[in-house]
Amino acid sequence: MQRVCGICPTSHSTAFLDCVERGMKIDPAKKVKLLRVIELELERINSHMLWTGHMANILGYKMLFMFFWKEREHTLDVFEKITGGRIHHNFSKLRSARFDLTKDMENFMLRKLARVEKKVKGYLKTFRSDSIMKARLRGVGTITKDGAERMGVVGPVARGSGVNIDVRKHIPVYRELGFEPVLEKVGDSYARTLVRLRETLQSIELVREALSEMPKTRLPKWGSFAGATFESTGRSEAPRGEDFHFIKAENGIIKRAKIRTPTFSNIISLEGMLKGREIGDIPVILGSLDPCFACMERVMVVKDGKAEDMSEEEFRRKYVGNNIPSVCPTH
Amino acid sequence: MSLTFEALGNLFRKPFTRKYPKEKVPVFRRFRGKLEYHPKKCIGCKKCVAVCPSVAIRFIRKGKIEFNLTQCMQCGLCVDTCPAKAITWSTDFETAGSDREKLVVK
Ligand code: SF4
Ligand code: SF4
Repeated sequence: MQRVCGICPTSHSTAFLDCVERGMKIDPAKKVKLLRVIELELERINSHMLWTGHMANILGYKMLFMFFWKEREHTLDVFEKITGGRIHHNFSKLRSARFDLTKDMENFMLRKLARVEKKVKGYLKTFRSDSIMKARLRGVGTITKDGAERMGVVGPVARGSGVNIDVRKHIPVYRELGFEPVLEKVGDSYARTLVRLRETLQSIELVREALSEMPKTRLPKWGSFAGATFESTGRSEAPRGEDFHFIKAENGIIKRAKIRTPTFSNIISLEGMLKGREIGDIPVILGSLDPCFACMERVMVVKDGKAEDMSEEEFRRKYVGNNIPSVCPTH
Repeated sequence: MSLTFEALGNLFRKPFTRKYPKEKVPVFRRFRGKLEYHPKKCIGCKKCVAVCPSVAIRFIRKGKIEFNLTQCMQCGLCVDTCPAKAITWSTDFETAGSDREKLVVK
């Protein structure tokens, strides 16, 4: 499930595991939950830094863009050190995690995070004080609280409009860490930028707290999916919003999987935001939604200028063949 | 303002990027690079073939298995599953090339 997206792989695997563990009635140990929190929050830091850099690029601040991506390199280093992969981490396992953290890794992580925190705080100050940025972002692509609720947008876009929606506040382990969603009221691109930057700082804090609460026990052995029959749902808070998975499995083989990605819910609000704006605002508005094209892509077969309409069965027979592997991966 | 200072400071610092082909990038110990197969340890249980989600493993006989790295996605399931620890990771990440045959680990 990691391969859905390159920016938020852990969110997908966490949602998938949440789903499978709910279906198989497994409750992972506290340590495993905290490790997943750390992974998810590191990923959020990573993704928000990538996005803010990109936003700075859209606004014409090439230098700020470079600075953000330079800091992001440090979080990538942390990922490489603790999970072995820079982009695809493959850290979570059913009921457990692949590796434990060593003391050396914790120190490495804290050191890097302290550095990133200091820099991001400085950049946040720039975003708050710079007049050109304000002129470019304020009042652009506004979505009211009412509108956001009606269109069902999720993640930082909803929180930028003051809608208190976050999957994390429903998860017990986050509540124990004292998690409160970051909210802004105005709902324009500027508010969304501030939400993301403040969330980056909050995530760093959450990682620290999770590390300090980590029990010193051994990791449990990871479980197997074999022979499980269930139909279940799971969700997690991806950097872009709520990520929802539905899995139906019979005898350890997945019969049906449905993923509802966050950008898909957010992009709907684009039309209302664009209305009455200038052409030059389009990149800013589109960018401020943090669109991820891995999230949004859907298959559509176009033949002779006409979209083909077919059922799942027909699609399989025609385009996929019998090459689908019969054993499902555990992540 | 602070940005200006940082930018000016960067004039006097070393470049952050590395001159890659000349200068090797160090990787951490857990890094997942190419797979390595140790035929002597293999007991021929075929578990790795069953578990691989991208069907990258071809079983010929005990002690002779081919891993097609063009299909492998470095998920690590085979490494975790192998009961005899006959598959391990190396830290070699330079898999780009023009010859597909080089990407088959035997
Ligand atoms: S790492 Fe994953 S994809 Fe690659 S050969 Fe092993 S099981 Fe298959
Ligand atoms: S799982 Fe390990 S021991 Fe079994 S066939 Fe594969 S390489 Fe050999």
